[in-house]
Amino acid sequence: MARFGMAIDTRRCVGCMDCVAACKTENDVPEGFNRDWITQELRGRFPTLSLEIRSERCNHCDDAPCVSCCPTGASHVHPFGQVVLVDHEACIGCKACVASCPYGARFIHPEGYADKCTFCIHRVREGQDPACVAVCPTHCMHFGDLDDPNSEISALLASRAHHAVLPEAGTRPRIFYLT
Amino acid sequence: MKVRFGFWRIVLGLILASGLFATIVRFTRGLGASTNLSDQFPWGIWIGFDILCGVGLAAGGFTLTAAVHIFRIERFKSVVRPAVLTAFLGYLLVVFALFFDLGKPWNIWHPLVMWNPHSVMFEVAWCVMLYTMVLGLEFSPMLWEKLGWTKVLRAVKQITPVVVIMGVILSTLHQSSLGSLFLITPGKLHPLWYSPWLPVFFFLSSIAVGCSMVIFESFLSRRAFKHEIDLPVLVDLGRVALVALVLYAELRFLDLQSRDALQFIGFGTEEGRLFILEIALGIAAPVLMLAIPRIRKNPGGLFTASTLIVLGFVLNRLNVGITGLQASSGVRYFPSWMELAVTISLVGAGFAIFGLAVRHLPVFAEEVHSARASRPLATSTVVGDVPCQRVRWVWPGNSPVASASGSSSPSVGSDSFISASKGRI
Repeated sequence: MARFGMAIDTRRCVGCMDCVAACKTENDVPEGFNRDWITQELRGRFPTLSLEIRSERCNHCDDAPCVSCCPTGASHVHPFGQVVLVDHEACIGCKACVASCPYGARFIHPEGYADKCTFCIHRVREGQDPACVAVCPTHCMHFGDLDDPNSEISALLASRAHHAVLPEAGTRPRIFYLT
Repeated sequence: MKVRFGFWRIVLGLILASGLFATIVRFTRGLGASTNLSDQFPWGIWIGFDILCGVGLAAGGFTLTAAVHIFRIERFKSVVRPAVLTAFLGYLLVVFALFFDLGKPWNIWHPLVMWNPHSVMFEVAWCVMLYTMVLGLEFSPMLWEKLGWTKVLRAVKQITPVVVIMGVILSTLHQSSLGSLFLITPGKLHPLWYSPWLPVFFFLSSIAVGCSMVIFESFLSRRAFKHEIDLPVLVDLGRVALVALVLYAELRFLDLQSRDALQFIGFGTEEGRLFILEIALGIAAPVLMLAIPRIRKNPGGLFTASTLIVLGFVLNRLNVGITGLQASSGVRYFPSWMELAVTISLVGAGFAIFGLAVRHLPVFAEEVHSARASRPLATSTVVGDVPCQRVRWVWPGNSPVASASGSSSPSVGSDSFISASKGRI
């Protein structure tokens, strides 16, 4: 069974925010909310500084706290690619998932339900990449099946140094940043 | 009946009016327009105070029903009813407050049919629902007695032991699961409060505060309704609170020590200051007061100590629900006036309904009945074979207590309830 994830090359990313704009357009994300965003992390002390630019979103964690704390099962792991999704109809808006997500990836939609990145599952089903991946002008994002040893993403993760965000949270995130 | 507009009624009216306005805004314009909540800070005062404190302050219900009906400590019987009434009202208000806080309140019934048993929130949802029903059953004898429905009353009394055991199990689960709720925020909740022991802490502190609430409201209702209080019973409750509080303090200290979190205590940060206030106000001061028999047995001392426990408890829940989550969220949260208006309205409504219930239902019936039973005027019927508990107390509208639309009735205050209540079984 597929297990979708992303590998994002921080050496290529320039933080142009195309992914952010594409996501908002593709998914009709209401004004004031974002399913993905750019993080700039400046490390070190002058003159030995390093800047990492990351395109971040829901990590579709293998051990997702938002799924285990949801009282109704509205937050669920979809069998297709084990993508973490929210059933808008089942959601009661208790905000436990928003509180539990270490990444701040979720928001409460003006309609009252919890919302977040879906890995553009509607596009992936038709064989396309998620919108953010598809529009990236530097081709820094790679989407694919982490469980398939022959996939592009598996090869990248096998050959390049990489890290995840907040691995200490213990949620086993599935978005990796190549360094 | 003439309705008087006293100072407090006007205040209550204003509070409820502002609450109504806030309610309209909340349900027409949404959470964003009415609250200062954000996606960085999803739970605010409606969770921190209305839910956490509402449930906690209702803990007197299960503590006392367990003491009387399971452990058979009969001398606490006289305070069971007010405690159950407080708990029932507390839970009704919690359910009410939930509607405000949920993003999709009309889906509140979903956990009934859509199950995720792994979820703490699922446990919380079921506990709220089931325990509110149990409290309704525990409360209902007051209503049946008033209505004189002896058959229903007898049926409810038959199942009382089962109901009480259910209630104790459910509220044990519920008090602790509210602590577990914050276990889903590791790395977000400040180390002064985040602990794997949170469920135990929530449970232990709820026992202390349950007893304190009973003491607190007994003194308040004595003032408001001129009921006599059974001081020795309240002193005993103070001792129970003391034991629970000492155990709670000990565990919290050991926990902080084992997690190397003692270093965060200090006046340097907001968290450190509020932690010190919480411990000093809610644990250190009342423990010292209650540990000295002379202060514990003094009505003023007992009342002050229990008030401090209640205040410290509220501070603890607000610290867990709000203060401790602030630093990691990156935003500052202070409730909007509408959030405060709703909260204060709920508290005000709670007081008002409690007052109405005390006036019109046999809440303090134990004492009243005993006092009445010695009078020739008393109309009492024995239901079943246990003399005191099964007395059907008919409380007509023209009896001094019921007809008194305030504390103005002189005949109520003159009744020497305390001596009579000591004579009962």
